[in-house]
Amino acid sequence: MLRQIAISFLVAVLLLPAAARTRPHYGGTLRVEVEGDPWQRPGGLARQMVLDGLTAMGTDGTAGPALAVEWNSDNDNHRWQFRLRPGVHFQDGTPLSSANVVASLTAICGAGCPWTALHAVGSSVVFTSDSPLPNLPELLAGDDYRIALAGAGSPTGAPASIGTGPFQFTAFSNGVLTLAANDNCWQGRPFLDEVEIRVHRSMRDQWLDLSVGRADLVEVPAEQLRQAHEQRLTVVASPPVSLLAITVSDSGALSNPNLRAAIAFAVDRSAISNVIFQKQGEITASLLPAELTGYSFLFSPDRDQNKAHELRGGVTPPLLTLTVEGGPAMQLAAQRIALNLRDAGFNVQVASAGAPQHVDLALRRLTLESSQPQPALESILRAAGLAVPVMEQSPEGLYKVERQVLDTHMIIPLLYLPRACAVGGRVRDLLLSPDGAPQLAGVSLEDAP
Amino acid sequence: MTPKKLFCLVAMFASALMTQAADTAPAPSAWEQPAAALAEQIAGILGPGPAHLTIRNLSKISADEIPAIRRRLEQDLKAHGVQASGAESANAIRVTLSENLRERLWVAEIVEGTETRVAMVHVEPGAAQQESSTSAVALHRQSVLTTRAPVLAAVETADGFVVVEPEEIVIFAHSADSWKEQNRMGISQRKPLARDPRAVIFSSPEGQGFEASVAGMACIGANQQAPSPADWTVHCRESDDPWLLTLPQQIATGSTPDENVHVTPLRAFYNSARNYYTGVVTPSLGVDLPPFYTAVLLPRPDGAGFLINGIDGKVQLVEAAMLKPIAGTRDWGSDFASLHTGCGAGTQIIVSGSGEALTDSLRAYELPAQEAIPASAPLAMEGTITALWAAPDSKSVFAVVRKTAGEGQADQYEVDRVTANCN
Amino acid sequence: MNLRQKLLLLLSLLVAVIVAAVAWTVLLRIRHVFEQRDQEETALFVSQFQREFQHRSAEVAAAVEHIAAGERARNIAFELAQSGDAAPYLTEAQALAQDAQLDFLEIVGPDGNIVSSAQWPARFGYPEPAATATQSTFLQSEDLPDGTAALGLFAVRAVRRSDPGGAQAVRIVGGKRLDQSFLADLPAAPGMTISLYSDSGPNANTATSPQPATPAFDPARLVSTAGSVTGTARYQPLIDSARKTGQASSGILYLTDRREDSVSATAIPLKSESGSVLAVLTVAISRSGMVEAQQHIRAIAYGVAAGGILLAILASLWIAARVSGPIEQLAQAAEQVAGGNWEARVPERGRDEIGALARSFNHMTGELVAQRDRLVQTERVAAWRELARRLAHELKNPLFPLQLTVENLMRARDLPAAEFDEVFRESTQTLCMEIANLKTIIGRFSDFSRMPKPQLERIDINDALRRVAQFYFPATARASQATADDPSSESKIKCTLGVTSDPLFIDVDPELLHRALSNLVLNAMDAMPDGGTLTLSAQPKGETAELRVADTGEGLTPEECERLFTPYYTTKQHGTGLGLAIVQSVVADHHGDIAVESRVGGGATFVITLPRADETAS
Repeated sequence: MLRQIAISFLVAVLLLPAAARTRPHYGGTLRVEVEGDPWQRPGGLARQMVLDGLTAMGTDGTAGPALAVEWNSDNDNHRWQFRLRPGVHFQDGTPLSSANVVASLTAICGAGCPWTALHAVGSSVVFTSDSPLPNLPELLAGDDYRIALAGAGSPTGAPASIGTGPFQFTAFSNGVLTLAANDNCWQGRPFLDEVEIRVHRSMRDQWLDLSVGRADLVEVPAEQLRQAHEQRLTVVASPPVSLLAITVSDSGALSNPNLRAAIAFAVDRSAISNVIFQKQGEITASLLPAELTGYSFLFSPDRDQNKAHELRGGVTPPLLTLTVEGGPAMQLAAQRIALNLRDAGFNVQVASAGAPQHVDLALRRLTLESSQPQPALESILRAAGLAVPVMEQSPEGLYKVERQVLDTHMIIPLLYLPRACAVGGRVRDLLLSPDGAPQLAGVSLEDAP
Repeated sequence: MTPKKLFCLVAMFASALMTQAADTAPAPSAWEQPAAALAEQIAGILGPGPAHLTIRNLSKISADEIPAIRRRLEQDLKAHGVQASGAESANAIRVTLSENLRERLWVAEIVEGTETRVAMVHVEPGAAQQESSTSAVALHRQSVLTTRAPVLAAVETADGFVVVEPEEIVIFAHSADSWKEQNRMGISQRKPLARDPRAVIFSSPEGQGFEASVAGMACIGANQQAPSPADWTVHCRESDDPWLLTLPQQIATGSTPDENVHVTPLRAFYNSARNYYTGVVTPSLGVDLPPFYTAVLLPRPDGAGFLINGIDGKVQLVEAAMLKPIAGTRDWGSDFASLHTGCGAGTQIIVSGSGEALTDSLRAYELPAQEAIPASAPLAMEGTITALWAAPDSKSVFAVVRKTAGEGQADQYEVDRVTANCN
Repeated sequence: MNLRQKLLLLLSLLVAVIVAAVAWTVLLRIRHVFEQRDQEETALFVSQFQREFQHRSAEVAAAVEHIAAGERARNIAFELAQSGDAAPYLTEAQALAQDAQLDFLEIVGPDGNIVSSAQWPARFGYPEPAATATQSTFLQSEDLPDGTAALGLFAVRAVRRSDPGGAQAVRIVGGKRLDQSFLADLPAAPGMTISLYSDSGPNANTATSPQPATPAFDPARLVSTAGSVTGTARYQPLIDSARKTGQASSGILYLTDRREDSVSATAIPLKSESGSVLAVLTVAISRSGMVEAQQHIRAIAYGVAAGGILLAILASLWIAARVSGPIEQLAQAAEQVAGGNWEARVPERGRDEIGALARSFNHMTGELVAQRDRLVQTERVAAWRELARRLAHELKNPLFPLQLTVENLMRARDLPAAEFDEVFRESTQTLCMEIANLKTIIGRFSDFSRMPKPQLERIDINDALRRVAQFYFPATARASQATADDPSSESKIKCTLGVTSDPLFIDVDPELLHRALSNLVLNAMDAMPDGGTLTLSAQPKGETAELRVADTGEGLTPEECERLFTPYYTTKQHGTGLGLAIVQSVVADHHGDIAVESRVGGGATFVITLPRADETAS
């Protein structure tokens, strides 16, 4: 597994521009194109450039200081205190305060926060919870908990967009979101003067723009990595950090656990990984990848049609709805899953996510936000809408939790996919964060004045 | 060489040896503990009796070690009454030697009839971290001194340590086990410094003086009345003279001293309004060079080669009056220096890593042909490398590392000496 | 029904029948012509359809051949053979299908599994049975991701590997939908509706329950170039027949309740390579033209019939005027003549038969009148002769004794006075008696000639009968048995009185009635010289009252019955013969009738019928 990581890293590294690093140049406008919404949660590019979290995930998978410089816990991780970094200002000049942080975090998750209470105490923020939160620093490093100046709306209608990050929102017109460098950023002014993000751009158009030099950074879906290489695009890819999984409702027709189990056995992961995602994914039946746990082989990803039929027991459930959101590959994967389930005797209809109906099955992509197994598992479970049990910090404890969750068959992992992007010739020093998102704060342009 | 210097070298060598020792693969006896722990867990689940044992390896443990691990495990199981063998049995033990990013993980699936239970043992990270056995050298660093002001260049002379700051030249003298500032002399810059200021400094052959070039200024320093460091004098003048790139040296191109090549010192004109060399070198190398940031001399089979890091990002080698691109330099950082280790190809290029991470790294590469091949594992530094140059004897390199300080504290600049030993 | 009405009816019927016959013939002929035309058009369409089908098949085959021979396909085949990795070609089929403008395209690997599918991209890796089809082109129902199936025309071609010595490795299965656009390309004549019914059952690969051999008819699966089809359910029998039998079937379909919406439909099964029916092509030719023509012809027929009938009416009126009028006149005149008005004449017009008939009629009536006159004259003469004879006879009877008496007197003159006195006395007695008899006879005649007008009174006829019975049979009036003191000389005659319990009123002259009844009773008594039974009865008969005087005498012959009421006719040796005439006269004056029922030896019954009195008017 480590070899795979190394290879991935090496691939990422080798795919960087065919040149050694020059000293970074200041200035220039980076032109980025995305298919979706750069403000979306989680993983929106603009969010990550404009907003910071209390903590930030380090390359070693542990949470490092960001807006908070230090933290401590007591009462067996039921209480946490985070001390804010002094001298930090929002992009409109408002000083960062504990009150602002409390307001922002409260606005993010309201009553659905993992913690029970949140208080501003001087220059600190105090979290209290009924259940222990041993991985709260890692949790706060996640994209969901970035701090924005509460109440500061955006002309685009996007969520609050005034933060403390290296870039600040300046304009949005004609489908182009413009972010300018924050000269007063606590991390230091970024090398780029501006970042222009062109939104809702199709993948084909993105690549075309990249090839003719109208774009500097574009998206590369996992299933198109091979194609990107064939087209000799300069690709930067992360290790497999995006989990493709099916979440299964436990109500309605699927309240019967045997039916859910039958679904789990009916899905053909190999076909989805090898064909739809062009062998760019790692087949998995575990929630965490092998490189995080080392025991993922204990969860068999093999398809077993006979077992599926046996578990279904001759019952023909009513029509099930499988929702999916995402690009063509996700749609195709959903169609393939529907076909697999039909082979097993289920009647499944694929629908787009967001349709007002009861959702029996949902095909989703969940992002690993940490390279530490416990926070990573916690983030996966939260993103999937499942309860987060108390877990031990040992591999055995982690395995027990994962086994317990997977035995309910309310989440069926399919494969892990990398995240990637392609860059133009003038982009330097592009790194990917642990969740695979490009870190644009450290990017410089080759031909910047 | 003074005793102090000798002591330092010995200390460095010893630490290098210790590091290398820590980085080498563990001895087979290191599997005893995990095997025993796993056997105990298996026996606790299965109980005495026969069982069919299989082992598969999903980790980086070499295949040669697996039989030994198996024997160890069988012995430990037997000690607990479990007769593990390859023969078919109703009970089965499937052991998987796995690992994750941080540690090794040995997993046993105990199958009794239709029921399967799992036991796990994780192996200490110390035993798990294993450097690539294919590395030629292992790098080690040692902090020389730490300052608050940016260090553009530094050199060790016979009497001290001369540091070039953007506006001053600082002389350090050795005191006990550290360097202590002795003298500070202004460079008297008349022009504003460019962003990313750079400098070079070389000690004079006898070690009593130095020659430094910084952003349109040339400075000569001399310690006229040794041993007192207070007698250092530094004269700086405006100068557009080319900067000294390399000292006169013998480049070993073969295995015998007869095959060494004598290289005259090379100078290159520096664009003081920018941060790169213009490409004009003297003496000419017979080929027009593009502007470059960094350059080193390398021994090549046919003589010396001049490796440059162009401002267009391309790393090229001037060899036999031809400019040849070098591949495999995608992860190279902004600075490199040559290091003569005597390992592998003999001379390696120490390169800073790419990226703007909080911490930088150094890695050794070899250029057997026109491709840069990693020759060592990355050596993590404690900050960002802002300058890198070879020591005069080419047996070490100096790296200036900018360390981001904590709250309310300014950054610190640390000068590290990096050495290498053979694997 | 008179002649005029008969003529009218006959002519109308004639016209109607003729028109109906002509119209029916024309309608039949039209129907035959239209049906023949429909058959020809259908046959023409079928041949054109087959040509179009072949053309489309050729197009599909050419497109698939072009793809299979293309460099891209050959490279895919080569690379598949080399690496066996089909993953990079997942979306190839969609691009190739788009370029070739095919609705279906699948790339099938050497193992018979789908490498890439344009219509169902997720089906990669599944087997494609069509890849082993033997026919150049064929019909197939292609399953789609949404669970439906679409009918298409397919072709399969093998791709030769791009290396020179390669064998066939990969197959291209491509096709085009047979849907509304295909139907739109078919050369449909005006009024022709082309529809396609296809069985789009659930995906055969994922069917969870056995499917019936022939799925139930679903009207929604019948589409035409315009989209939905009117009256789809009406097509069911035709389509089901074609699906079950695999043969074309035809029939008339009534798509709505209106005949104009009927169509002449033919269902043509479209079969797969294995012979199963995948779809049914229906050709429906509107019969509205024929129906309209028929309706037009019917309308014309009705109009002609109406006109004809009108003409018939006019003709009949004219004919009636020319023919039946004179005939009616003749009939009326004949009735008049029958009613006694022999003076009736009819106009004589024209020289045709009717005129000749009129003239003959007039001549006949004239002759009748003349003959009647002559008869009357003759009868009058006869009656006068008879009267004279009777009178002579009646008078002779008393005159003979008178004559003898006078002669006796004359002779007695010579006798002594005493003898002469006695003779004179007897002779004068006899003379007086005979002169009284003469006076009686003459009084009868006089009475008969001077029958008074009746003075009507309302009486109960039962009282009249009792009065008569009491007059001639007092005992009978008191009792019902004849006794010796019955004033009648024939004391053996029994009189029975049959009267009604309720009064039976009539308006008569009581005296005249009494007289008539008396005459009848006397005659009855004269007819039973040896005794018998005389029955007097009365009963109501509707609006009349019927009086019966019946005797049990000798009876009368039919001839006697005929002449019975002739004045002066008598069967008695004596009598004036006026009795029954008087009776008849009295009955006639009272607007009644008299008849006799008799047979020889069975007595005689005189039946007098008189109108009953209008009791409401009283």
